[in-house]
Amino acid sequence: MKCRNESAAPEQRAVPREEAVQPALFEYGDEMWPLLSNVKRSSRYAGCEYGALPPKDGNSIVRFCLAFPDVYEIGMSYLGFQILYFLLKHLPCGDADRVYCPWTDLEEQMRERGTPLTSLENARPLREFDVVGFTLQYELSYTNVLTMLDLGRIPLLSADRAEEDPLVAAGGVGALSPEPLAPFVDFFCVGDGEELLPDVIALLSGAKGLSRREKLERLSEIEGVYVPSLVECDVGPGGVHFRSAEGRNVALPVRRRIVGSLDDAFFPEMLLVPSGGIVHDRVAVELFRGCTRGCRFCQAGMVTRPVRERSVRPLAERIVSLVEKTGWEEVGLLSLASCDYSGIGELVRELSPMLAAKNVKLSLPSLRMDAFSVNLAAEMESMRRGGITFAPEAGTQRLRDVINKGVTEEDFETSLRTAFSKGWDRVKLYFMMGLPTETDEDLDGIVRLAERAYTIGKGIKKRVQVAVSLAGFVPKPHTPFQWEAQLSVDELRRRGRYVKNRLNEVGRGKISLKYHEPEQTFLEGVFARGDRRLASVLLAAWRKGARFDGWTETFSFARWMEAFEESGVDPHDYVSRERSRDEGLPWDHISAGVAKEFLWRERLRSREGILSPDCREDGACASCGAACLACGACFPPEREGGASRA
Amino acid sequence: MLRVRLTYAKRGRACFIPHIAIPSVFSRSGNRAGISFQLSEGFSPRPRISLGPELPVGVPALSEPLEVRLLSFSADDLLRWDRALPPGFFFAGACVVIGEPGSTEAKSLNKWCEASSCILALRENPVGASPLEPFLREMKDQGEILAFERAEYVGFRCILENPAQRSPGFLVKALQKRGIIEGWPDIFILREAVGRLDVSESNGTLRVRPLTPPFSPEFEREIEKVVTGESALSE
Repeated sequence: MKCRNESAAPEQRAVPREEAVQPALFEYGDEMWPLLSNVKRSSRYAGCEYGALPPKDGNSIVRFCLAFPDVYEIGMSYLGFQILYFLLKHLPCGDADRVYCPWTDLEEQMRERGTPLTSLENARPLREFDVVGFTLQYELSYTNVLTMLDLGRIPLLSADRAEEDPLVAAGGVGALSPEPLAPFVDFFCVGDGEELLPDVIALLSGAKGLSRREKLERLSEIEGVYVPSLVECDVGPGGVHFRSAEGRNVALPVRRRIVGSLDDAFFPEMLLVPSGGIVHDRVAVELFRGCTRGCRFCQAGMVTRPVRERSVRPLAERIVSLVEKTGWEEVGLLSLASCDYSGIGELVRELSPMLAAKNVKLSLPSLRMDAFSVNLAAEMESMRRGGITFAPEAGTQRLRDVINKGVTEEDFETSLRTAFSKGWDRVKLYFMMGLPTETDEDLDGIVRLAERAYTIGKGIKKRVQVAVSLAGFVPKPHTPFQWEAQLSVDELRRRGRYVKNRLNEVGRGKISLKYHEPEQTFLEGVFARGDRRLASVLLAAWRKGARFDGWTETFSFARWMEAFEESGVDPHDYVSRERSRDEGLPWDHISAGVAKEFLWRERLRSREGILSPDCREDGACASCGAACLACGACFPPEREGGASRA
Repeated sequence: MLRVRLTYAKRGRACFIPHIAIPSVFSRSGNRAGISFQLSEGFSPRPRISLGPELPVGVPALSEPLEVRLLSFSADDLLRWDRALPPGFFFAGACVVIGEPGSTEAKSLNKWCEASSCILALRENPVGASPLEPFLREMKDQGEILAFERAEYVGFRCILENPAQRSPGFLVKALQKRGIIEGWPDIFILREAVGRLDVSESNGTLRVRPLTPPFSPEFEREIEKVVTGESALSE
């Protein structure tokens, strides 16, 4: 080796940084080290992220801990926390840390040693924050909320918390049907965080020194904040009914806060870059929020209306800047249906050469079933690396019309043909089972479509893989199917096996099938449409050891059934029963922006198989009551800054 | 094209970032610093980064080697790159490797890694003499390690040959076999250096010399001379 290492005049710049040359005692003294060296995937707890900002000082600072009730590599893939972290840091009185749920092996060791849960970046114990705010993205992560509170030494029930305990908040899609968590959460944030959090932080900064009670009362006056301890609910034969607690004057329903324009909303100039590998390891940017396709099963499509798009030019500039600042090798263009972005063609055209020069790939998370989308994906090298995924959702045209999934057999044929011709040889097809009115004929339709995909592929490619993924349908609140019954565990299992057997008849090994564990689907259904009575079940199951219920390796249905039994709550009442139109629903006190009348009309149309158009495409208005669809004025065709589809 | 050898420290919780994630730690930070990587050929071109012997998860390190192929390089680049590393990662030294293909100078990074030097300390020190001392003596007598001594701040320093074969995990297994520890949580290991064996002229002590000259006040000027061709490289 030829290296020169001696020299002359000293210079001041090229010296090792102080932290690099600390003595070994630095790590030897880390009390977490023996725990972390004894768990799976310890990189989850390492932090070691580029881009984190230093903590702030000052009496008026509101310390907010963003809490994700799942492991780091899942939570770190969630764009929402990237936005909220930098938003909180950006607010003059706000500060943010994050915390993720320790996996069961670390939890066990923390309990053994009496180690409290601390934030990732500054190792601040959870109970030293002003607010610990959870995001509720998935019903089966609710027990993890309790684990994190408990390991953080925060009393689980709001009623048991003392003045010095943090306020426990929750947001995300789960806040739109919050009742199963109501006794554990001090306040829910309903709607877009960019709009809500500045108000919450300003209020709490000015309310330092006030009692918990006073803070919560003031918070409840902010639009979009729901304080369950100030709202009583009565459960009776007519369903669930809400009213302001005695002596309070809480305005119900609580209305979802909505960012009017994404161009004007807070959009981070930097993202936190992990070092240990996460599920979606890339620059993630949101092209638009909301969707008006109107798929009747889709909660996200109903509760994020109206559609708000970012303008192409500033978006492209921000993407390039984020790529340069983060060093990421891939950009994911996210939205509920990214190909519906009116400027998608222009954006991809603008970005592709700039990103290619930096060896950065573009990707789309989901593809619409048409030639335009497939051709667009084919231009993206990173998309060509793996398989291509489509979601016909149902096996027959009849059932696709019931769910308002605007995909025809022709769309299916065209998309598959285009995909195989463009070079893909692996296709994944997403379907649901248990959709309203589904029969075995619709399941046969799934088999037929999968077989058709295989045949089309074999006509073009030598080697073809078709994989079918079958999810159990869960009726969700604030959707036209919120009144529907959900299939039982046994029936879901029968249908899953039925499709599996039928696919085997087609030819073993040609088409693979995975279907979701029906018992998890059942539990998801219970909590999706649950009321406050479920809180006691949640607590009982958690005490029995329920953790990470969305993970098959930790999920125990028997444990949950014991918890239901002990709590005297019948889970089947939540899933297996069709609700009547006038029944009070456990989320009636929360308005997601879409009128209940519209949802009911959509339900009736579903039964007749009548399609409802996407108001973006032909100017028709389904008059759902959300601001945009009531009049259509939100989306004039010549929208400033927007672009026409290529 | 320049073949640049770097040594880096991996401190604090960064020791839990696995070896497999290290290339992306350096490529992403290099992207942030505007480093011009030479990319690999093929369908998915990537920066050409080679790592030294694997460092197990949980072992902090002071001077791990890696090599990168760059289109251009300067001392400013290196300083910018160092500042773009995630917390816990630091560059410790650098040099430009030259030599005709096939020559001794140009041999691969791993062939340069003759030995490693580790600090070993029990997590909980038993009352009385440390069982590590007789353990290390036995290992030395059996030829499993080359040398050991008490370290300055904590525990013992031991020198091992062939780090590709004898990683810190090798020591953990030997300690487990003798019943001194149950597993990783009972022992603290820090890898001080991976590189070439060096014998002190004054007292014959064995040391492991890192594969780059350390960051030093004179470093910046020297590397500038090398990359501009003003200066030849010498041992």
